Amino acid sequence: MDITMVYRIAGLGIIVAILNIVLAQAGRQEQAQMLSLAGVVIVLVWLVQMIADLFSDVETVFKLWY
Amino acid sequence: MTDLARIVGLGIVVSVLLTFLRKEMSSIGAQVSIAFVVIALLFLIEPLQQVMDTFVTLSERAQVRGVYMALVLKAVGIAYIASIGAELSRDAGESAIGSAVELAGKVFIFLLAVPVIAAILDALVGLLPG
Repeated sequence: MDITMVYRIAGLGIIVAILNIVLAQAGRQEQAQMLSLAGVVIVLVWLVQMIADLFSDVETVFKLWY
Repeated sequence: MTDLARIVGLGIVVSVLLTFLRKEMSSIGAQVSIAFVVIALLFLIEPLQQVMDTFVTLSERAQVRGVYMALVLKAVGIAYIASIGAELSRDAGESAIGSAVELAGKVFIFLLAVPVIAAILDALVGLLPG
């Protein structure tokens, strides 16, 4: 778990944004929307794992278990 | 020190990236900012652990009862998690969800403190004559 995750998410966002613009210009509005939704869901899956890591670490530091 | 430099540099780079992403793709922009906050806090966990260890050592030296110290640590942890969640959802533009999360944190901290409050009240009642 390190910094590359942020860059990965940002890169995916930029790619999805550009493809979105291209698809919208080509008149495929629905596919553009599906693409952006797919991007959001993929990033959400990564994020949930990171947040779970953070919460378990916080639990360990503050000894929330007893 | 290197960790600090890393976090500051990452923050600057992410801010620049976000100026583009917030305009073109605000949903993923919000997720990038969440990811940055989570990563920065993950970096901070280890120093935070040292701070907590210092506090525990100090409380042992001052002979504070361990139960009370554990209670305080738990309250700090709950406040930490709740404020992170609240700020993240507020950052994504949902201030209603943010305040609900904050309220949940307050309620759980109060639930933690209930036994102590009851003990104080019991002691006070015991002090009163008759």
